[in-house]
Parts: sequence; C-alpha cells; structure tokens
Amino acid sequence: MSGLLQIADPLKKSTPVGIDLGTTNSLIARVVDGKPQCMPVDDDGGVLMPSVVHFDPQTGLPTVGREAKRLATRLPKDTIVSVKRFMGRSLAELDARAREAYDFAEDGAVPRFLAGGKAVTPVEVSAELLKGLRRRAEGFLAEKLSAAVITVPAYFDDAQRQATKDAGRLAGLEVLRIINEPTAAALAYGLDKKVNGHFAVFDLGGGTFDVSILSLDEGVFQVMATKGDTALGGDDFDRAILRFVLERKLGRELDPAGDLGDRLRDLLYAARAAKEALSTVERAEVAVGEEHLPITREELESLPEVKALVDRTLRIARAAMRDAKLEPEEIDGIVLVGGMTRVPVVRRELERYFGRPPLADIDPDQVVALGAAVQADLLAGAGPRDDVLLLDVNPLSLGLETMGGVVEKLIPRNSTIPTSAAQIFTTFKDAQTGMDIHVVQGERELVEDNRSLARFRLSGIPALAAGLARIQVTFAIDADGILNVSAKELSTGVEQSITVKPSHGLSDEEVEQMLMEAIDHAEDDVTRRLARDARVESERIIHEAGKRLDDHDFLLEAGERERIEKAMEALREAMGSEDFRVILGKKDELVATSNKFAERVMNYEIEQAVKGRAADELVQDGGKESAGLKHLREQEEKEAAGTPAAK
Amino acid sequence: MSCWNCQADPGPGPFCQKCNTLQPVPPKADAFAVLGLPKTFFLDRKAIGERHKELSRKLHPDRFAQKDPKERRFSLEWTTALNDAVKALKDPASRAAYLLKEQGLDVAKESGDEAMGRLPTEFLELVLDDREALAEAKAAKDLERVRALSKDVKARSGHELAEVEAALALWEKTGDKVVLEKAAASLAVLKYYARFQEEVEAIEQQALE
Repeated sequence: MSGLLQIADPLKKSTPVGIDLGTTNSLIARVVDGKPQCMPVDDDGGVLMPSVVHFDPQTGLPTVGREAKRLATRLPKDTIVSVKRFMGRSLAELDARAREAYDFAEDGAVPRFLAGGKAVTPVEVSAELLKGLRRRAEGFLAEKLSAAVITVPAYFDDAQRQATKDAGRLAGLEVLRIINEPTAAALAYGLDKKVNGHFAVFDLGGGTFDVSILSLDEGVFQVMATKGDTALGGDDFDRAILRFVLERKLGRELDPAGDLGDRLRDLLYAARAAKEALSTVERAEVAVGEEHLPITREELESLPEVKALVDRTLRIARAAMRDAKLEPEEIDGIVLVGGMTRVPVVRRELERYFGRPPLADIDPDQVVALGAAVQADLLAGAGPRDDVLLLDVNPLSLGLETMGGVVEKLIPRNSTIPTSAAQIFTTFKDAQTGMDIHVVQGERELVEDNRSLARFRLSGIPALAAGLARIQVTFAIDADGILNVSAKELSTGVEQSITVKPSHGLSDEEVEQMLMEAIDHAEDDVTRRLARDARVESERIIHEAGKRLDDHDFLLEAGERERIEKAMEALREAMGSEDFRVILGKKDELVATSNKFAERVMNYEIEQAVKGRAADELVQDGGKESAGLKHLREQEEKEAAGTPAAK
Repeated sequence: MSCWNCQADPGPGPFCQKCNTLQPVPPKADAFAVLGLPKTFFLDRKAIGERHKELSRKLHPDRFAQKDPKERRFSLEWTTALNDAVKALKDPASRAAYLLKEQGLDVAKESGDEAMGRLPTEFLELVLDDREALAEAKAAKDLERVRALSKDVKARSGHELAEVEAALALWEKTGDKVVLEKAAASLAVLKYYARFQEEVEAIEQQALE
C-alpha cells in the first residue's frame, strides 16, 4: 500500500513553518538542522505555488496553485489572482483595474468576489492559499502543521495585517507572528553571514515595493526605518512590455478593451515570461497567438514605465535612508527580495546609488520564506539561537482626528514595536456619556489624506459636568504591528467599553462567523476526502480481485466465483455513496469473501517461485510455514486490513 | 510585593530572583526605572541604545512565545514600557522634558498660549521670520535655501540645548527648582525649532518622493 502512516504523537509539537504569502507566488519553509529550507508545493515539485485560487462554478470548491492558474484564462471571474492587492481594502478603495477584473457583491464595505457561485472575501481567498500550502507541506512532511509565521509587506497597514492574521486563523493555523518581509529577508541573510553592520533590504515583488534599513548587532536585528508603496511592482512592467510590443506591431495606440478583451491575462503572462527571460538574455519574444513579438533588454529598460518605476523605488530608498539618518556608504550590504530584483536595470541602479553590488547568494524568491521559517523556529523555541532577536518598527505614524479634521500624531513612524501611547480626552457637554474617536494611519496633516484605521465609540463615561470626566485612552501596537485600544476614566477608575468599527477590515464577529463556517466545512472536507480515499482503495481491491479471478480460476472452489463477484458488485454500488463508512463496509466484505481464494493464489505463486530452489533455504526450523511465505502473508493481511494508512 | 509564581520576595529587576519568572511592570516605574538607569539628564545616547538591546534580549515577547499566558502578557507590557522609555529618553530634549514633567512642568502638554508665555517677544518675532522664509523657499522650490535655513535653526537649537543642559546640571546639583523654569523656557524654544525641522523634513521628503 502506498502512502505513509500518520503517527499522531500528542506530545510532539508540530514543525513551525514560515509562510511568504505573496502577490504572485506563495512559499512555505521550515528549519531542518538549523538551516531553513523551502518545501515543494508546486505540482512539478517546485517551491513556488502560484497565488491563484479557482472556485469551481458548479460546486464552488476551491483549487489552488498551478492548476488554478491554468483555469484563469477560461474562467477569469471564478479565478482570483493577486488577492493580496485586495487584503484589508474596502470596495471603494479598489482601483478601476481591480474592480473590472472580477464581479463583486454590491453590499458591505469589504469586497466580496462573486466566484464559483458564492461570495468570498479576500481573507477567505487568502485562507485557501494558506490551506493549499499547508496541505502540500503536510503531505511532504507527513505530519500535521499548526503553527506559522506569516510575512507581510513592511508597508502593510493595520487593516492589511489584521486581514492576513485572520486568513491564517481561517486556514487553521496558529499565527505565531506577523513579520515584515524585508525583515524576514535580513534574518535569512544575517544568520547565514553572522555579520554586524547596516543592511538595506530592497523588496520589489509583483505588486508591492518595500525598502527597510536595519542594523545588525550581535544577533539583534533592529529595523531603523521602513518605507514602501503597496501598489508598486513588477505587474506594471508586464503591462508596459505588452503595450510596447503590441503598439509596435499595430502601428497605433492600443485599446486594451477592444484589442485584447478576454485574452488580456494570457497576454500578460506571456509578457511576464519575456520579462523574466530578459533578466538573463538580451532578447526575448512575447507570444501573442501564433505570433512572436520581439523585445530586447535595451528596449525594456528604455520604456518610460520601467524608468518611472525604477526611479520611484530609488526615491523611496533615499527617503528610508534619510529616516535612518544614514549615508549610502554606511550600508554594508544590500539584500534583494522579489523576482523583480533580477531585472538588470534594477540591480544596476541600486549599485549606482549604494556604491556596491547587491548581495545575490540567496534566491530572491525564497529569501522571505526562509527568514520567516527562521523566525518561526526561534518563536517555537526549537533552535539553539536564542541570541537572535528581531526588533521591528511600525511603518506608519498613528494619529487621532482632532478638531477641523487635523491629525494629531500619537505614535510616530519607525517606533520600535511593541509600543504604546496614552491620550487623555475630556467631555465637552454636561452629562456626556459617549465619545467618538477616529484613528488614522499615515504621515499627512489632514485626516482625509491619511488612511482611516478605525472608529471607536467610548461609552459608559460617568455623567459629570463638562470637562470633569478624564478618559485615558491607550493605543498599543503589539509585536505583530496590530493596534489594540483600551480606555479608563481617571477620576472614577471605570474601564470604558470600546466598540471597534474597523474602517476596512472584518469585524471580530465576522471573522468568528467565518471560523465557525470553516470548521463546518472542514468537517465536510474531511469526510469528502475520506470517501475519495475509500473509493480509490476499493477500486484497487476490485481490480486485484478481478485479476485473480481471471488468472487463477483453476484455484476456485465451487460457488466461490459467484460469491466474490457478488461482493465486487456490491462494493461498486457502494462506491457511489458519499459516506466513506458505507464504502469501507462493502470493501471489508469483499476482502473477507475473497480472502481464502487470495491465500490459495498466493501459496500457489510462491510455490511456483521457489520451485527448483532448495527448500531448506526458506523453511524455518520446525516451522510449518516458510519465512518468505510468512512475510508475504503478513503483508497481504496488512493490506487487506487496509485502513490505518492515509495519503 | 511577592512573586506571582513562587510568592517569595521577587527583589528588584523584571525577574523574580528566586524562581526567575517575569514579574509585572511595577505600576510606579518611570522610564529610568524601566531601563534600570539612574534618574539624571546626563545619560549617553549610546548607553541607552545598548541597554535597550540588552533588555530586549531578555524581555521581548519572542522570548516568551512558549511560556504561559501570564508571562507572555508581562513580556508584552515590559517590552512596550521599554520601547516607550527609550523613545522618551534617547533624545536629550525629550529626556529633559520627561524630567521636567516629573517635577510638574509638563512642557509637551502646554497649550500654545501657555508656551507662548514662556517666550520673549523678540523670539516670537524671530520665529515668524523663520517660518515666512521657509514658506517662501518652499514655494520657490529652493531646496538649497530650505537647507540653509534648517542649518541655521539647528545651530540655534544646539545653543538652546546647552542652556537646558546647564540648567539641569544646576538643578541636579542644588535641587533648586527655580532653574527648572529656565529649562522649561528653553524647551519651549526647542519645541518651536523641532516643529520647524519637521516642516523642513516634510519638504525634503516631498522632494525625494
């Protein structure tokens, strides 16, 4: 029987894993013998699982990864790509391109994709990606996984971090920590190199860009500054390449809707393939139907979009250096993250600014997942490296709305987390018992220019004269970069109740609801899988029984064939059932009915096999049964018993 | 106070000296106490940074991920207090303001009018001139001029900080609270300068991005 025995040892902690939940691809890694390694999660044994989820239009069941990506062309609305761009965003915030790509449920602040005949939130779609990674890694490790560190772009705001954490919970994972991608990358490098100094991590992925400046000192990784843009990335290159080759071909400007229509996604994949090829060769082609449209590296690098993108990333890098109060020559190493950093023009420009070539010895696609695995290992207390510690910062300032829509900053950006700030509010009306507080994230002076994080309703304030009640509200950012709020009335010491209304994310109730549903579905999933496994198993048993009947009919006793064939028929019928117990029951009956015959067949086979060999080679002293025979019979019994093994 | 875990006297410091479990942050602990540093203005920035790292190694939530929920909560509280203490004390001006606040002179929370009361009229006129010059340079997108103005304000800040330092040295030596008023006035001036530099920063960042 194929498959591995699942040994459930309740005392053994599951392997902690690191997960890079990327815009384009996702990875999962764990530490083996002190070294992080990515696990094979792609259909072809690769470590990159495309971050694509397809929901079957008939059944609504999800498929993830490469198989889902293949379905993206044919069923674009049911196939969600780049879900990361939607995390923690409201429907109103989505740009036109994102809105056009899918159908959305009209109601609610959180966007819900209409895919596979149901409405799913980005958190649920991301949870499917995580489940996909988890299942594949579990298959590879032959053990259940439960604890993970998940990475997010450093510039993700509170809502986006919270959404990511929720997705982890929905996927049945205990999220040990949310860490920033560039920080994870530095961890992967720093551990490897055992170095001290300043590092710049430059992370240009499919959809986001981050740069972080860190100092490494005797194992303490301290983030000094972080800057980024959550809507900047390699996907924009793909578009630019496609437009360039098509416009040259057409001799006119492109009309994306008219010229490309439904084929757009395919064409973008072709453009991406060309872009990737141009990192190593001077000339590549974009496959458009039967035609192959050429583009050179020089042409790529002179595209205005490419120039603008590279230029913008460098401006952000300079701003981060300014925040860190460092000069380019004080940087001891530049760590590259994300497939886009393979593009030669990006490397060249970085080298020009920092005056040294970037480090290139860890695969930029894998480095974040590897670092996350290191952190997961540290948090699980598994490794011997308790001298390593990560001190991260909040990337965006946290502030409150005050009179006139002006922001009062409470926690400045680049504050080491966890951190907190307290603010005292007072009532302005007699007997006022409630108060609204609006928290924003960002660097701008006016509320409307920043990102609204949450609105709080302080209630239960003791009814006093105006100005007498003094309510101290504490805003705390935890080690995941997520905001927690508490409040206390100072004169009476009464704890205030706070109703959080997230501006963008899901409320706790909504997440709980999803978790409940997920648990229900998880049960469905398990029974479905057990039924499927039972069918496969039954198929094999029927096949073997049939083969024996055909090949060894001379060993049958009277009436035996009829009994076996009847049991085979009964099992075939049972295989249509969704209840795995029904299937397994009939399977056991078939095994029992054909057992004697199977034994005879085996004995006969062994006799044939040992013919001509010395009998005493096989016969044990005084034993009735040859050792070889005994071994084979035991194996067959194990197989017939069939059930304890799982895939 | 007895240790929540073993009931023994936990002694000073974050950990119980008998059973080595993490104790809650003492409710009265100020930033100096959290860092385990003497209450004085005269601290070295580098030493604060070193202490920050040293204590983070022991107290950070990452170190307690496998411990029981109570210690995990204390670890989060300690680390938050630690980071906030560093934020309050690392910069000399904010360290001075922190000391003054403990003496009942809350410079940071003073309203515009109160702070203004501390400042001589000629200074306020100077501030108005500075801001006007900055606004002009910004409008003209003259980064060189912006930087020159910033440099000038920086020099004056240094001078003002020296005043604060002198006043606090005297206070620490004599315990004479009157000199604190002088330090408060200098801090109010520094606050204006800091706001000026923030604006410069915003202009420069805008030019960069």
